[in-house]
Amino acid sequence: MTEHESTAEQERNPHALRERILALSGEDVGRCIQCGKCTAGCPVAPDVQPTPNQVMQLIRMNDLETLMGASMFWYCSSCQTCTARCPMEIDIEAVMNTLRRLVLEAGGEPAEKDVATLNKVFLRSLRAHGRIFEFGVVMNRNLRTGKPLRDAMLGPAMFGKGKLGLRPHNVRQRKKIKRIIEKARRFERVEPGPPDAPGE
Amino acid sequence: MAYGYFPGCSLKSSAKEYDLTVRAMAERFGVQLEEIGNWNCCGSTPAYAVSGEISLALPWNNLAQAEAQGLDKVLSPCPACHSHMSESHAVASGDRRLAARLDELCETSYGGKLELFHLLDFLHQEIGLDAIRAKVTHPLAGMRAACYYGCLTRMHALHVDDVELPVKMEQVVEACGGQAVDYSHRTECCGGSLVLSKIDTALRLSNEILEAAGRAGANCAVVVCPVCHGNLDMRQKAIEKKYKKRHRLPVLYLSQVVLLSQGVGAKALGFKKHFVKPGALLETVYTPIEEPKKKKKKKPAAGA
Repeated sequence: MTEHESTAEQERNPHALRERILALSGEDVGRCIQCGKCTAGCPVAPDVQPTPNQVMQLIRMNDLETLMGASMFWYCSSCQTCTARCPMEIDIEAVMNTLRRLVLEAGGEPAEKDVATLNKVFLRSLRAHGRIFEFGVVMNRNLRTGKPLRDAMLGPAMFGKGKLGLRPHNVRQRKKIKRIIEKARRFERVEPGPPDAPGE
Repeated sequence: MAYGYFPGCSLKSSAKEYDLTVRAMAERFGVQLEEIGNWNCCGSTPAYAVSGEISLALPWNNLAQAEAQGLDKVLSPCPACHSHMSESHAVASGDRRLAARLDELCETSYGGKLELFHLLDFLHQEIGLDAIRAKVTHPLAGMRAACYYGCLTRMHALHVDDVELPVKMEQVVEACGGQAVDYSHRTECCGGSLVLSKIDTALRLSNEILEAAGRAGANCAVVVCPVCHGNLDMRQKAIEKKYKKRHRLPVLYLSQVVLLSQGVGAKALGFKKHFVKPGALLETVYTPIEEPKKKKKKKPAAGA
């Protein structure tokens, strides 16, 4: 769906966003009772706007515009405390992750570019070597975020302790890893599942 | 019996001492670890953030390789790797269509026969607390450990311990003769990989964890995750600087604690790789036996 189409769908159907999240993650945000437990337990909540329970409400309000600029799901550390504690058994962390993908798919700019850049650099390293080359990831992140000296003090100390390899581990099958990453769908729908899917 | 071993990227670089001591520990319990051949990165959070298929396919490739190697149990000491492997593994028995797709992507096939372990359940189920106790030669009297689980017990597809009130790490520490302090931040998140993107958030969270350990009177923290260790140990100086506080809390891997209770010296435990030196802790905890190579009677471990 292009950005234009999704906006049109957004205007036509007041539940469009909720339904989209349901289709992509299998999680129905409509079940949310706004108890606030997700926000109470969220480690990054003090640093973000809107908070997890507000994100849930914004989805129900079909407010994609506000969500496109939201920092919450970029900060999300995937610790899954919200998921573990949700009394309605919504996998909130999966919803956050779906929102991240949704913003990118809609061609939006990530509200927290650092996080998106790190993800990109990390995957690039994986694709090139088959394993993560930590030193390369950090250097690339510094270049791309325009902060060349970030963590510069840590590098020599880590190197001195033998904790930082200056050369990547190249996996023998790295061409295959590259193929996997290239062939895999970036954004897949949850197929209409087998009948064991729990009813609403 | 041989166990498959999946170290993961961190254990090959920033968490080398974890790799080293897990292997040494297994050997002492007579467990043979066989590394999965030619393994690739599990994809971690970035793969998951970008594509569900990539994040399932990367571990799938490793699982298929382990199965092809004739292994039936696999230990992965990194909770992130273990969690991604477990989610991928669950597809084999849960969703045939997706399993077929993953087979196709990985140009291989995985039958779903493996049994996966993290260090915590490995120690409990495969080694057993009694065996740990039986091997203790240097009970860790004086160790007051803040057992820090992080988000480990929350992770999807993992049933390592109770989600809110885990106990397994404390039980192992106590089996080694140490004392586990009761403390508030056992399952709070350390910020994980945010340390590479949103460092202020990660430092705030790690500071809270260290503070809580200090309040509880701990003289060390014990972890079972390379990311937790990085945030609490490697970044401790930055935390102290930012919050104008002195923590100086040594952070040990659980595998190091088990080996310590068996009289293994600081050198073999890889303490040189730690940023916060556990020297003072070692003096209060026990007198380690010198490494067999050195016959000179040096004061053990103080600066190691």
